Amino acid sequence: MSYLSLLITSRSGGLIFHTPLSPHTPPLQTNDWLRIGSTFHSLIAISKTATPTTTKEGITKVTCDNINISILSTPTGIKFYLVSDANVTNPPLNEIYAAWSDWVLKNPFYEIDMPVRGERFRREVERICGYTR
Amino acid sequence: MLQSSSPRTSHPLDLPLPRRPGEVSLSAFTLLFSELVQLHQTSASSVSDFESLLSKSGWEVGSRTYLMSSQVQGGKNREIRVLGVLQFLSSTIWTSLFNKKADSLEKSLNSSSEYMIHDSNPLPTIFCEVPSSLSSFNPASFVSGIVKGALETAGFGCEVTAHRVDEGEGNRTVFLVNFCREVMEREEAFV
Repeated sequence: MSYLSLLITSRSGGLIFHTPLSPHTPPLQTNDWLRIGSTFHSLIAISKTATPTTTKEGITKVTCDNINISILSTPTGIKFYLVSDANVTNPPLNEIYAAWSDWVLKNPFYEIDMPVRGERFRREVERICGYTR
Repeated sequence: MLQSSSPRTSHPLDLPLPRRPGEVSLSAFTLLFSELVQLHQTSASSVSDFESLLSKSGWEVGSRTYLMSSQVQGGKNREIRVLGVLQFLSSTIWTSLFNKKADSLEKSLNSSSEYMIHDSNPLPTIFCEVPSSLSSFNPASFVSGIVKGALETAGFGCEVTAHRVDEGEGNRTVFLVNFCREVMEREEAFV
């Protein structure tokens, strides 16, 4: 089981956090990550309006031949995207969400919808996903 | 015939003080503390001003906690010695506020009026991560305000400062208590 990267977008679709979780993560520029994050945000919005059935979540999982992208949309509009190997069955998105509410939202110096600069959350995500630099 | 069906409710002031204070959710406390920090940050003009505002909020907490704890735990004998009041602070008050004792209480080697209280991770600052633009700010100044409030209410005038100890992970903090001259003169009269 291994994870490749984690992306988080704000309620308006801007990328506010991204971290590599494996040495095999493609080395992309920050601008590329920003583009990927906001594209996903838009795709989820499209999926919600384009489906004939009523859905609250939109896209929750993208399956490719060798990777999976698991998506958690929170009630406040923040979205977590975890890119993992195809054999990962139980992505720890809820654990990451809990870590987010602890280490980011409870920090008095974090401003809502702004990029996360602190290192504590990143370390916590790396611990949850079992990644050591 | 008129008869009240509900039992007679007593006034809160007639009830005995609780032996142990009620527990509060850490998340609820942290979010409230976070708002307090943000409120002071917007009104402060400098980092030292920010710390002193936060410390003043802590003063009120410390003062009230001291009054209540000293009533609940043996209100008969008030602490009159420096070491006694510091031990009461680092065990009883620390436990009723943070649900643990302070890690250690030490006397400074440099000065007879200085004492140090160590805490490996002061509870209010667990989730605080100070940005590099404010690197000299220490959120534990709230706790130093609590220490000052409790000691001053007990009749021990002092200055308290919080210092961060850089020892790997966590927010290891030392609270340096410097008692006033009058307190030390009184202390010497006991010997």
